[in-house]
Amino acid sequence: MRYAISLSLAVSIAASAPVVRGEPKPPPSASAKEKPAAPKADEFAAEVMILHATHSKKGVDPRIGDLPELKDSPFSFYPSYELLTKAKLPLKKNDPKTLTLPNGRVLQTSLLETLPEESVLLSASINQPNGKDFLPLLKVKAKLGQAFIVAGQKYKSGILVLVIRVVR
Amino acid sequence: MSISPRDLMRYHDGELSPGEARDIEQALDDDDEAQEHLLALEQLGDLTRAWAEQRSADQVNLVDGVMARIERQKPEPSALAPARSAAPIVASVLALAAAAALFVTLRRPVAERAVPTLPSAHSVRLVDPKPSPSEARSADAPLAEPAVPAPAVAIEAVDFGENHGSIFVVSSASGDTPVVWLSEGPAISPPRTHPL
Repeated sequence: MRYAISLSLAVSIAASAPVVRGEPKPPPSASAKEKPAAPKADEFAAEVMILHATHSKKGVDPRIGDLPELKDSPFSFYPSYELLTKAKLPLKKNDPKTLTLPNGRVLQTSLLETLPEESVLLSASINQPNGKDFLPLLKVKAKLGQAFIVAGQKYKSGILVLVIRVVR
Repeated sequence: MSISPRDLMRYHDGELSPGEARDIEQALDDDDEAQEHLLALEQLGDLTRAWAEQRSADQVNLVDGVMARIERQKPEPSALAPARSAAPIVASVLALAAAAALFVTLRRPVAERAVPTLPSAHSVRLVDPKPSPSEARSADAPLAEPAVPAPAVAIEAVDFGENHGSIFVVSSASGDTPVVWLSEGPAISPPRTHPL
């Protein structure tokens, strides 16, 4: 048993060294000047689509556009998706933006960091006015045009599905 | 005839000759006190035998008890055998796990990892979902060069507060989409096709 533990520790220690080497190095300042300048923070925004998923037989609202994720589990559990709101929240550092959801909660987004390759690190949270935070923190690293989904809040015999996408 | 205590004891113990014993028996018919003494000797003998038998039984029980206790305190052979046989297996499993961790770590830099699913947690740090086909690269590629593109979207951290939720990825033609599913909705199991 001691042999096994010693072996595991040795391998773990050996494994830790490549991890450090494997982390991507920050771009040197000289080469950064040669590359195209990173987009300004205020060029990004979080496009938020608020969908209402229900068991009604209305199908998928055509205003939602092409969102193949809704056809897969677990979203396919709801046959009907209606677009309730579509908003664009500018992503700026130290300048969080809010959007009131249909259930009264407030979605807040903020830019944490602008990353290379048109990516951003943003934070989102869902707060309950005069109550405890529902989703205190969600930190996401996303490329331009890529979406992530926050779903599950109950709303009128269904749930809310927030499709958040980084756009310009 | 007066019966002496010594003769009475010898008679009681069967040490007299048949003639002497016959004489004692004739004397006992007329000697009530001697009869009481003989009765007392018999009772004493009974008590002594009973005590002796009891003591003998206790000694046997004591020995049995000691032996039984020793047996109980012995380690069960069946309990030791698996432990001995499991040691190499545990060692092998740990070694394999460590080797697997080393292999995965060498193949994928930490900064490029992001986790798509988390069954249920309050606050987590997440890393990358799953390696896409484009992430495959030769094992002898230089480790310092991140040849693997970062995932388009990665959940870096989630704090569910007092609620619960799960994180998973839904794959579609447009790519992998991380999903944060809050527990307020109906219980829906994350798709099995894309576990972390």
